[in-house]
Amino acid sequence: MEQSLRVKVNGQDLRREVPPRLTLADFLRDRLRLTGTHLGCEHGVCGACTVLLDGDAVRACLLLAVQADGREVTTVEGMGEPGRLTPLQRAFLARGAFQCGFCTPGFLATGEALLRSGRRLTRAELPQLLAGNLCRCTGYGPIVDAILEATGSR
Amino acid sequence: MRAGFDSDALLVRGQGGFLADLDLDALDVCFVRSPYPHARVQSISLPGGRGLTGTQLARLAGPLQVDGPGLKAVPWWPLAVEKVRFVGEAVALVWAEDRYLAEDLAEEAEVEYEPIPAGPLHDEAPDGVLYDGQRAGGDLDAAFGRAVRVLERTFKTARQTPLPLEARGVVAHWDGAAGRLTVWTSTQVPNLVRTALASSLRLAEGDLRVIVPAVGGGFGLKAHVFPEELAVAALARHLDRTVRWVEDRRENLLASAHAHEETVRLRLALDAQGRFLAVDAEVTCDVGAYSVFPFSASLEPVTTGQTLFGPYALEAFRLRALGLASSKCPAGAYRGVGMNAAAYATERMVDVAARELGLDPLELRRRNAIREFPTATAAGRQLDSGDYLGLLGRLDAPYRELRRQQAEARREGRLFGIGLGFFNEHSGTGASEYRSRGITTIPGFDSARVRVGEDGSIEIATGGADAGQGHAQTYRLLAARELGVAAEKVVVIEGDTDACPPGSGTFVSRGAVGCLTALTEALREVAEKDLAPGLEVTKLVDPRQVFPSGAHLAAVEVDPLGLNPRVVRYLAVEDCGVVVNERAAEAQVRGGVAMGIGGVLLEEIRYSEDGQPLASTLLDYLVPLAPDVPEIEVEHLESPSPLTALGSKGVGEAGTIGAFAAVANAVADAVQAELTDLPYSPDRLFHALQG
Amino acid sequence: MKSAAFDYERPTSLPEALDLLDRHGEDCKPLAGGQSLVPLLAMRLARPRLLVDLDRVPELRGFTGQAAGAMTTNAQLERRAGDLPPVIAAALPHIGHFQIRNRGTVGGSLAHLDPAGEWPALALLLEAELTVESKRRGRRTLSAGEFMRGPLTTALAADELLISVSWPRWPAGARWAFAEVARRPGDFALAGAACTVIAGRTRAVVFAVGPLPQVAGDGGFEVTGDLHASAAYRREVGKRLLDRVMTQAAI
Repeated sequence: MEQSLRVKVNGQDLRREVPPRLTLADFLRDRLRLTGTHLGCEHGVCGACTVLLDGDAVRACLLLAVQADGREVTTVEGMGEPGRLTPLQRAFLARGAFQCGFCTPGFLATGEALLRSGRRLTRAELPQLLAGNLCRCTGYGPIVDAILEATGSR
Repeated sequence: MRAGFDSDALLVRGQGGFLADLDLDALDVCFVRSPYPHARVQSISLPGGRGLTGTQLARLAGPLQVDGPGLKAVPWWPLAVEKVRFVGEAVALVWAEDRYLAEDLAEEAEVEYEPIPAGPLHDEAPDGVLYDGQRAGGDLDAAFGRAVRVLERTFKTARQTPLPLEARGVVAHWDGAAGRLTVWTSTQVPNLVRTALASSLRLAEGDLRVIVPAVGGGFGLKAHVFPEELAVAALARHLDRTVRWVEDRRENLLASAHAHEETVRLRLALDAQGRFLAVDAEVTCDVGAYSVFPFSASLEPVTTGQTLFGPYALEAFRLRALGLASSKCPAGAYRGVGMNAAAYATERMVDVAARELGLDPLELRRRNAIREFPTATAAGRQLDSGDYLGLLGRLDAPYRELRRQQAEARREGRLFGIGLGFFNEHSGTGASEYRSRGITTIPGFDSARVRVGEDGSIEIATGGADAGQGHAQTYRLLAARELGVAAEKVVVIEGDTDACPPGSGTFVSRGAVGCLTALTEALREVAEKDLAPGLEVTKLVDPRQVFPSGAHLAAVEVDPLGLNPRVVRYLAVEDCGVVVNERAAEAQVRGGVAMGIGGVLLEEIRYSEDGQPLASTLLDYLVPLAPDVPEIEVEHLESPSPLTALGSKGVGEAGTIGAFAAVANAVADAVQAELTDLPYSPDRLFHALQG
Repeated sequence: MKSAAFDYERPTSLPEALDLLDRHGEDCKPLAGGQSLVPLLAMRLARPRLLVDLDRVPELRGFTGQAAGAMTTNAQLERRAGDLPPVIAAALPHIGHFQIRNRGTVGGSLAHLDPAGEWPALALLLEAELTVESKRRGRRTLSAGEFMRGPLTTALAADELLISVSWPRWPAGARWAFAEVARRPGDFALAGAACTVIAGRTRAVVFAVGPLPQVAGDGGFEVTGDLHASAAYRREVGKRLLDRVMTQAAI
């Protein structure tokens, strides 16, 4: 039986009927056509589908859409616009923090959460904090650099 | 994919447009896959009108099959017909309005299997040998006769899978009125897909269009043509509907392509000065259930065999290379291919020799490095250029410094090791090379077309396909250099068989060899003709193999309690000829090294005795995370290749190949044990130290 | 990897939640943070007819220094690290990645009972008490040892919910140590151990080595091997970890 869902996505209040088994990731991708949230494993390990739920970084594949009821979701589509990228997005571009770009939205969500947490990020500790996101292309160095650069710009 | 100047900005907004992102009204396909490693399919019952069995699909599409010298040609049908040969092989497909519903239908499918306890997988290969080849050069008996010492060791690499973060996926659309099939697929080889589809579906190539959307990593996995591509395309024509298959991670781990499960037996003849006289090698690769298309079961054993002792001068060389079938996922290309196993076995063997002879590992390498270029080697390779002593020389100072640190660490009781990885590799294999080896399934040529627009804009199209390497950026750089045009004026098109000239795609690090040579020639002709509006120049090249080389240095520290190894320092000195795009080249090296670290320390797909795969999630198949990869220092040494327009050589795989050797040697040095089998997991180190 | 269909209820009180469990029993599954359950749903290894989402049950919330409601997330506890026994605070960062801790709950971790999980080990170490409740039988309190029956198996009946977990007051001067070995940060441990020295009494547990966390004693401990490490590795490294935490806690 479909469930009613009220959720704010990227600043917009929405109301939808969804089957309970629909994950938040599939809701975003298939129902809202917000395809920036990528699916890399669908079992909560790779981090490609990381989004912000009430400001916290979470796996959108490990959340049912109905669990987001009454909450606010921010996806990569809600982070920056053409010509008005976020400091983190600009740093990802400047540092070459991606190659194929498939992991990028997940890293941006993780990075945003870390930047907003207000904790001091150091080169020594940051890799540990990024261990919940997989990248197969870059070897991670440029991603670490980009997040540190964005810290400096804030 | 059509890449405008701001295509990177699309990726940081999540607007890359990967296969699963395409906004097409499509039915979702789910494959019904075998839980048995080897079984006869007795019967299949599918939910009414929503599925096809292997036998039904076989009427719509023919199998993939590769033939050639030393190979047993075995058909690989889009869906298994009569019997299954590995866990995860598809026996049927179903379709529905979305993937949830399709998986519901797949569960309803009733398949009766009769397990086959023993016996050959393929009637065509009763002994299980899918490839058997040999090569030899020089007088092996004389060299071994003169040897004062002969070392014999066997090394094994683990079964891995490339694991691009985006798994595979295909969308197919049949336009009945035009009789034309359009296939979007996440591939590195659009033209090969078109050729294979045309043959399987009995369509003219002109009636097929293959489009490559943004590709979320390939690493060799997407350089194959897969049965699923044939099946989805055939289904679209059969149903006269747009159909889509987006692979999930479990399918990707069980049933895409694996790689690297090799056993390398080496006999090395040495003289009194520690000079390598000759190598006698036997390379055996467990290639899984089928011969992959287009590379075949010869891919890894031959690549490994050719690359063994690559940078070292030998008088004689002999190789036997075998590809053996097994009830496992077929093995294909994964970054570095067989060169990883070659560098691993070779460089571990060199360290074993150094230890046996009481020589410093760096000195032993220097003593045996090839010094003259160009040269023909005993293994039959034609090395185009290089400066191998120069590469080793760059490591000298940091190596000594690390040895000092090691002495200090050992005094403190820490397990700190240093490893060298010295190698060469081939890149850019061309048509004449493939034909000389009897391989007809790979075109081997590369192409580029440059068009000058009426407004002075430049459109570049090639036969390559980008999977994150940043081709567009490199092409723009080159256009700016050769034509003096602003990067903003350059549009790049790749991965569309209607819009691009034909070519081989992107694998064997061929981008900087074939494609860049074709593009440079085309740009230069456009420049000669003063960028006349409307001008169009297409160039086709048949590249010759060129030989990048490198010397890597790794330091590893092993936690003495849990024996978990960690790479703490990494320096890669690369010689990929003339560096065309420094940022892209270094990115390739760094990413490659990270994958090599994974290959040595983490990545492994094991099967149980009864043929069940034991790694079906990312909790079981471990790849490097940010803390597993140190900052990677990259230095360049440039020995221009005389065989390419820019003097460039490929750079896509070097990082991985070097890391397989350097990281492995560093771990072995840290624990002071003669390690032979990858990966070097805590458990494996524990058992090695228990003796 | 898409879940089979199920029904969904989101009770807003404990009686309502217990009533649902009472009516649906084995057919239903409580959903806490979902970080272990949702992957099992996606792989169709768990197939409940009904999911009972505990997110809005206020009786399962709340944290005092000595007790946490079952729906308390690990991230919430990390933010209150100063109010926790220091051995819990030290173990929390080892539970998955921070994105997982943002959703994963104390109760979910205990009720799922992965042998490599940190929470079961902590509960055993601290001699925690687990309060469980059903509609028919009311409330009962179990020791950690009574609660844990085997890998992925607890004493919870199908109609019963874990309500909260509590541990004794952490006395001034108590000492402790926690250590684990994992292949990569955030992975399930290959082996782990933790120790407390409270009022001169030493208590140590070893975990991720066998079917359940175990209190260290003279008789050694049970080990199992799997894809990631052999039984022999776990026996030796478990022993080394126990030695380490007991030495560290003794200093």
